[in-house]
Amino acid sequence: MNAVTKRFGAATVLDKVDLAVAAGSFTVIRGANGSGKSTLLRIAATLTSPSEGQISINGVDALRHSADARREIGAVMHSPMLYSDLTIRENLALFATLCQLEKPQDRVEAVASRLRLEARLDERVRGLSHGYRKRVAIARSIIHTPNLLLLDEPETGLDESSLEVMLQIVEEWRSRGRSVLMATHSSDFATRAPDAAYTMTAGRLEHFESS
Amino acid sequence: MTASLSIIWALTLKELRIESRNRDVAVAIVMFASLVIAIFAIAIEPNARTALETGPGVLWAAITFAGVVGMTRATSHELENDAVGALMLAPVSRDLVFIGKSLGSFVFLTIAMLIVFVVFTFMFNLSIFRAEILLVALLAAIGFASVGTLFSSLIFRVRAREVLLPMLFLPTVAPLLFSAIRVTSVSVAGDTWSASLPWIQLAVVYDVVFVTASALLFGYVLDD
Amino acid sequence: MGFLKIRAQTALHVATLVAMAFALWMMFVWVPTDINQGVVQRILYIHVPVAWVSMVAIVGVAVASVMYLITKRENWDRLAASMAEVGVVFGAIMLISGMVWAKPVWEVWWTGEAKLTTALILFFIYVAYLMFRAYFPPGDQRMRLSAIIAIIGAIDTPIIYYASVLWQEAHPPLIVGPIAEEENLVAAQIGLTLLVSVIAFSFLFFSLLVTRLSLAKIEHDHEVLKYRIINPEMSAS
Repeated sequence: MNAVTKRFGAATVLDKVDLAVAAGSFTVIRGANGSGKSTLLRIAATLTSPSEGQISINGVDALRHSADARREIGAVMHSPMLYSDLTIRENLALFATLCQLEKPQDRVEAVASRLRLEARLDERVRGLSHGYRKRVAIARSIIHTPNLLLLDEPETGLDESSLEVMLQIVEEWRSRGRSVLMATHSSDFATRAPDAAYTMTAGRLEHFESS
Repeated sequence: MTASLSIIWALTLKELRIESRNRDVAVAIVMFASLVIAIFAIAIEPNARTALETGPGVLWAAITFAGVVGMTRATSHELENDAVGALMLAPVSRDLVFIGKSLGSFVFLTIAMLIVFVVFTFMFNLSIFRAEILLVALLAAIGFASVGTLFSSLIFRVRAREVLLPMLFLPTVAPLLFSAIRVTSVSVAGDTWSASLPWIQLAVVYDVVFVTASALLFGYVLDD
Repeated sequence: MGFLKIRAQTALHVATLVAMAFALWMMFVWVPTDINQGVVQRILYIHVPVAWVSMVAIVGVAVASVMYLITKRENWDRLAASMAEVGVVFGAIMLISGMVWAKPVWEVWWTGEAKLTTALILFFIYVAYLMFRAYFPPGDQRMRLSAIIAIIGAIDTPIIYYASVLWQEAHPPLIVGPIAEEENLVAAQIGLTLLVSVIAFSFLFFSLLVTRLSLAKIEHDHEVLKYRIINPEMSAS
């Protein structure tokens, strides 16, 4: 990510942010609400295009070839991004089909059991609690085994055991040479041995030295 | 190519599945259009002559207004939980998302139109189940679905979207509306196919231009 | 630089003033009254140039919008928005002056004539464009989305016109006394007056456009300053 700037009207939310996430690393960004963390992650996920700057993911220019870049990205954002009138299975299967995975139903079963969702796979999202929705969103983010996992405050709404599952996923991603970029405001979470840590204040990114 | 088709199909299926579960869009269109037609039928009290004069205009005005209501409903499920984000995160180019979504809307619109046609036939005592009318209805559904999908996605984060959608949609689809009204009135008046032909050509041109333009511009819409 | 710009603007305004005054003199004093239509025909010296300027504005909005999508430069967005605003005002004058002229000549305020229908539909599209801009919070997204609306409107224009022509063929227009067919000395005077009037109104359009553009720039700077005062920690980039 190179000199990325994002403005909303007169507001400059990100100010020439440079960030490189190494393969096989777990990078954490801390910062207060409104500091620009989420915007940074949304830009990395190609949900938002930057006002200025470049992004490349695994050597793919994410602004020019965003569909190819998204193949390498899994993301868990603030909102779960699920269709309320579809079941968990249908939501996951839709995404798996859009990723053109082979045997999408098997992949759905696999990620669902990983996040202990199998018992409620055929329930509609509308009836699910916040924590469940988050787990479905996490399941979706890993269904296509992306090389870069983007997590925006994933700890909110998760119970202890789901949190453990998520940390296992992070660990697994790191050990297989894939990367994780996480934004959080919980300092407890940030100190769980990231490879690199940054703090974000008012749209600027600074390297963070853990004491 | 087959990959694209399977993606489009998955997206259309998603639209149809959601619609079959809450029937928001089709019910909204059918009820709204039927109400408009009923109100005009009461106001005009159509006889054999006035039905021919006013019927086609009433029918298509009702369908167009109802279509706007339906399009607003059709995007509301994308907003809930920011669900549309799932489509944006998928490694799929935006024009396929557009085609999938508009195909879904096209199916609801066509079904709703057929029901509205039945209501109209009873209310105005005019038989409109004729080949050229059904053809122009199909063409109108294609145009409405693509322009409607583009505009409703474009404004779905604006607070006044219920006001803005008709303001944008109605003048833009005016040529289609003209074409549908004219084909309907020449056909019920007993004219031959050749009288409808220029209007059907116009509707075809409109659809080709707007499906292409909307698909190309859609990429700029889904991005915030 | 700024000083020169203001000088150029003032020069444009003065030129507009002179041109408009001259055009007014020509259309109300110099050119003789039309034999067929009488004094109402003089409305056309305003109606035709205003319609011409509205057309220029539509093309301008579309071009500026395409340029915005290509370059992503805010200036193009401001140009498109300012042109649309001035264009809608001229469009409203065109519609009203047309109706005032049509009532005595065609005996109706409004008819299904092709150019009228087209003008009215386009007017609605550009009003919707401005409404969209008013409702949407400023930023990249608004610029991009309003550019899309403008492009759709421009693509629609020829189709709407063609549809209106087809529509009109089915509905014979109510014209009673068509615009004069006389071929005498007066025709040359009418033509010249129209030409001068078109030029004058074009000047007026550019004058208003330039003023609106500098206002848009001030609005933008004001937004930025306001934001910096509220968020002092944010950098001035």
